[in-house]
Amino acid sequence: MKKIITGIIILLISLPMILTFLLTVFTYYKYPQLLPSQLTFEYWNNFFFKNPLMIRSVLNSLFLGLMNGTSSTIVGFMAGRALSKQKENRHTRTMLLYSLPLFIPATALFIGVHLIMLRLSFTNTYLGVVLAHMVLSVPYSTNIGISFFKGIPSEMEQVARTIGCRDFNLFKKVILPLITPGLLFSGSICFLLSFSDYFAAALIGGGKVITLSALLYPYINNADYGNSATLGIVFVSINIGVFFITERITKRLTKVNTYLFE
Amino acid sequence: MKLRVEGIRKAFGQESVLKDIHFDAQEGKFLSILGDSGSGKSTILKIITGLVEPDDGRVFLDGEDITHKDPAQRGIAYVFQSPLLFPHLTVYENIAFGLEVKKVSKSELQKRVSELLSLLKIEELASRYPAQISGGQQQRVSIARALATKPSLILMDEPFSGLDPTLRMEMGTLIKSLQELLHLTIIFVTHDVNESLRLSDQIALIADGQILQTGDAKSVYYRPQNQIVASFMGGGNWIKGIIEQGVFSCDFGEFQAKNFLDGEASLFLRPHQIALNKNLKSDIVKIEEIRRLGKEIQVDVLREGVKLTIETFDDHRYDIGDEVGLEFPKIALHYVN
Repeated sequence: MKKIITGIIILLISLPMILTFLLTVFTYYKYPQLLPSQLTFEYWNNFFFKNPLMIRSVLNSLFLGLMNGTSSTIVGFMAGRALSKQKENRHTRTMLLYSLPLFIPATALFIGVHLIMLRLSFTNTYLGVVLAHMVLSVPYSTNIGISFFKGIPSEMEQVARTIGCRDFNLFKKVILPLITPGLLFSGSICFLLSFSDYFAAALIGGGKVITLSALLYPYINNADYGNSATLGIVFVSINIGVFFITERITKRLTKVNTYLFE
Repeated sequence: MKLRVEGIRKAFGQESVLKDIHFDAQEGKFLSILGDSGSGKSTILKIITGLVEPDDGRVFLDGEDITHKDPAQRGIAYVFQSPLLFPHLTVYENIAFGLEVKKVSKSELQKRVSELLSLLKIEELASRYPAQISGGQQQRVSIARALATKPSLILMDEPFSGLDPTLRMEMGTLIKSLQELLHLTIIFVTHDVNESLRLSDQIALIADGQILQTGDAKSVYYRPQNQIVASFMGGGNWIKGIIEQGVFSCDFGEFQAKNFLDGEASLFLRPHQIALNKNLKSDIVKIEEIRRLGKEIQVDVLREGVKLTIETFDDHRYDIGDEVGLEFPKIALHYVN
């Protein structure tokens, strides 16, 4: 029974992927055709060699994702460290303020952000897009940071201090190794948030900072299934890749840490 | 004198936790701070180690005022209630942690860690992670980690409270033997009277943020300064009477009371200091109640409205209603005016 359920879940996840992949290697494959007919590598050729915008959009998305993942995690974890030291009700209030951007529709939010970016001359720049993505990502990374910092008993830091650790050694030898899985987890979440965003990149990037999702949108709009599917497969593959890489590293790092959170 | 604590006061908000604490810890001795939960004993340790700043008062270590010194520079090790091992480090690395921070040479580090692994009988655990060893083993590692940097003073905050009774006993014996072997100065916080009596050279009894009595284990147990100390250390009998010219007179007879002030006083005796004797024909009392305490029994006897509680192992010879004689100790009697 367990095997059947696992099989159904795998099929449900992989079937759309398989069908999308088939659209990238067959020229004409539409309903009511049961099986594809004409094999082609035109779309992949287009992606890798003919249309440089496609590769550039992937690199842009990767760059923005990495920047957002890194900066949101750093900012969020610093805030998380401070908030984890506050009393529960006080940090809930602060977190509410922090999370306000998540409560309003992204379109309304980013139009407001766009006005600020215009004043700061950050539109059409990578920095502007990263800052816009951070508005949405930092509340998540802060929450992850709070959970991880709360998992480290304050007495453990006190032990390290009595053994001879000052602030820098305490951070380097005790805190950093213990929060590394959290940093990776937060980094990957923020990467994926940025990587999947269309609206902020299109609005703040203003056509100069072209991301993969921004490029994907017009292809879908024009019913160009072959190119849409190719970009879609690249998009999903990167997301899945990031998920599994993070999972693997985190697993390796946390296999000995479990007793801290028991 | 190893450590001197002078007039320490500490309040958290409106709540005064420590009120004018004074005590000394002698070099190479085992001092227990004994008290109930919330009496302020852990706060004393945190002030000594520098993790909490006192509102008033001073702490001296080897004559040096360390009240405001950085905890990292005090050379005082702290063993907490739970082992708090660094989960990302192996047992070996945990023990070596303090030595690495102090940038001790690699050869010296290896030698010291090997010594401690052997001393605490945890050599086979060296490459394991904290999650892979038992609670008792974790506490051994935390003690080894505390000893690694050769601290001048070791503070222990109820380090065995999470262990089962057998392991607790075993760890107590281990700590005591290490203290004697290495001539360590230890301040040990506990709420367990038996543990403090078993391990300590000196006991400081704390209640409600005040040290009520300090002294060697025997004197705190047999010669309490007041009823609070006496009852904290276990049950006892207070027999009211009068001291006149070195003699204490009460309903149970006359007893020597040299070096005590004349006037009204109470004779204090622990339940096991009084013996029951069926063959005695004088000082007869009637057994009112018998309670089993495991191996021992507790017998309440009554005479002229005065009730005494006596503990004995002999549980076959007495019944409620029996009339028996009482034998009181003749020496080392303790009176409280």
